[in-house]
Amino acid sequence: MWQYEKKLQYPVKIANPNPKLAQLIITQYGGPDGELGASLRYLSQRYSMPYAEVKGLLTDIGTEELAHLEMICAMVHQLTRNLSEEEIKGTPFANYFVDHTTGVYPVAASSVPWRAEYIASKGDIITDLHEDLAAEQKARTTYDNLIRMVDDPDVLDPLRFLRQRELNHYQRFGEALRLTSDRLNEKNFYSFNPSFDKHCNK
Amino acid sequence: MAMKERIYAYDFAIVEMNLYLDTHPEDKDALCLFHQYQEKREQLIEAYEAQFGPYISNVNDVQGDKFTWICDPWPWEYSKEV
Repeated sequence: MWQYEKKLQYPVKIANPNPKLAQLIITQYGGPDGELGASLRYLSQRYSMPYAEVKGLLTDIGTEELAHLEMICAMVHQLTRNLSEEEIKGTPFANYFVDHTTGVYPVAASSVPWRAEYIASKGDIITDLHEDLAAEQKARTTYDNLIRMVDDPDVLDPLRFLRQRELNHYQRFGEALRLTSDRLNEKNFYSFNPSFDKHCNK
Repeated sequence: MAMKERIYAYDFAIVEMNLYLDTHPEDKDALCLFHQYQEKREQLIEAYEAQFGPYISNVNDVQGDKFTWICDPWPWEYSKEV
């Protein structure tokens, strides 16, 4: 189960609304490498993990990703608060506004709605951990791209925090992959599914 | 640093130690640090509650006749305060 804590993992305090930035940042909610996909990816994969450390890691990182999507949604919400029609007309945010007003909906910066195809849950620990390592790097690249587009320090600060978390998660997934391969017959690393074919353990 | 910010900093340190311990469950130094952070966090919450009343992220906040859990601001809302 989960329990809600009435706080953000890291503060989001954006003094100046900016709908153009909201339209870019929302991609880390509903985009291909966003936090919504990250949480569902890890929380789905954990059921087929054969090792306790990796069950724990996917549960805990998946949970942290929920806190991250909340931060992204808070950024989008604060960047679009108290807008007048004049501040929206003629901006790229107008297209989003027509569909969702200033409600928060999971879409990519390119306006494609969130899709389950962004994630994988293959029922194979080695396959899934490689997916997770790639996912953390793709998210890091996306944060780098966002940081290039932003000069408001109120927006940069939480983006830099979230970027750093991708690096820490990458490190932990790398350790999970090493823990996994240490338990396998080294002749068989990539020719069996350790989540299903039990004979490939040492 | 405001007392609530210090509590949040320990919350974060505990999350980070938790992830490290997932992949290093027998690291004695890390376990010791994890316990230290937890103790420090509890002390800060006690000190906070003695000074300001119920700590915001406790679920069962009731003050007098009101269920204060629903009180604004919610975490995503803009406010200058922590």
